[in-house]
Amino acid sequence: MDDDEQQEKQHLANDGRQMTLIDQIIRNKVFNCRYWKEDCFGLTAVTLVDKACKLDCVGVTYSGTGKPLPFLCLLMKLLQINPEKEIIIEFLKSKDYKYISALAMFYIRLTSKPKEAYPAIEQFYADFRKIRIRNLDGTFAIWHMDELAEKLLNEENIFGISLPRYQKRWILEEQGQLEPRKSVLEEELQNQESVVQQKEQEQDQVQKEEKEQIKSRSRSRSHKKHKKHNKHHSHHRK
Amino acid sequence: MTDQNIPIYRRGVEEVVKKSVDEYGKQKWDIEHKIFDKQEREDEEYDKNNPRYTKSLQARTDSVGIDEQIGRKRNVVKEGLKKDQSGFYCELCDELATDSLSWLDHLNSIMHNRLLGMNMKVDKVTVLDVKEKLQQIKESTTKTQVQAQEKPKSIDEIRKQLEEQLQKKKEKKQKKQSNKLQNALTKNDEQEIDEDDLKLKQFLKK
Repeated sequence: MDDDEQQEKQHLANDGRQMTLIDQIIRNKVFNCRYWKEDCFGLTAVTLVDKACKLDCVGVTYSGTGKPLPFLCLLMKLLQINPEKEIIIEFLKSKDYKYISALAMFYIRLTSKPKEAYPAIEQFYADFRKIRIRNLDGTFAIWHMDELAEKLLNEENIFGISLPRYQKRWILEEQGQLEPRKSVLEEELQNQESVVQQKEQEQDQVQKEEKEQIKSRSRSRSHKKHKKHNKHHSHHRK
Repeated sequence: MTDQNIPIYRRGVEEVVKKSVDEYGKQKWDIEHKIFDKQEREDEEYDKNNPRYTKSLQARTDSVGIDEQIGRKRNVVKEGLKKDQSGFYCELCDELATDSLSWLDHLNSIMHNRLLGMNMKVDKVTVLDVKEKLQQIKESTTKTQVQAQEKPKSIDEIRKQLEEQLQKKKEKKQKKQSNKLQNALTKNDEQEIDEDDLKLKQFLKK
């Protein structure tokens, strides 16, 4: 059953019925709220940017009655107007406004296939900006961008929104659909490795020299010992 | 079939004609064969030639005016014109909304937007527009930041401004006092006259 539902949801992404990706209970709450009726009417992708710049926090609903937050309303609007992929990528790139890129991350996670979504969202593993987050109780918390990206990719449910199920990353890698992830630390690691190798080489050289020295020493030592031995002998004899 | 032959109750109603029957008895219907009223056909042709609502839907820029009415007093009529009754009144459509949410519903409705000349479709946007918009917002925010940084006021300027404000206040007070004095003087004259009249009347009565 679940798999069928997931397949349906993925089909919906290109079907013009994207709004149904979010469950009906939450959807109706959005349609009845004031922010949706007042501010979200007749928005295009351009005018939506104005509203998204003023976002305060990431969240879906809060309080006992489940009031929808502006973030959710704008997400629904994005699903409704269904902009081009390039526009969403432009949202992702916007470094000045972190809540716009968070919005785009959610949108990509909901609509696109895992093959495209994994590399798009994994950019934010190296992003440590703080985000304000509103929980379902209404309390606030501080996360970071990489936390949000990690939870979006690996969890099935975020703030009460059920996300379409993705295959695990390593399965896609085995099938050859995805390349293994390149982390930002890789260059540093390589640099470190080269440094370590150089050190090892130096150490090897040093050890070799030492060994040679030891060999020479051993002779001398033995010689000295021999002398000492003689001395001792001489001492004892005295 | 001519238009005259169609009975009135079937005019304008879609009529579907049976086309053929399958070997299993399943019927096929010819949907394209429709019967329309004469006037309806003319209307369709007219609509095709003169499209009415050509403007695309645009978002509201100014506020709706829900919060502006907080703390205001106004006389309300229970029965009478819609304009004078309590609630939100739309002058375009002559409609009254008693609730803020239903007021918003009315503003978003198809009829209201058609009267403004808009259809309910939104313009298509390209990537370049979005890029420009993002840059505009960035520049505007940086400008405000720069302006805030450029003008740290010195103490002398602030003192001058305060003194000017104080002087203006004093002038206002003086004006008010002079006006009051003048009013009082004129009133006193009137009262004196009145008192004289009263005295005269009382004297006459006696």
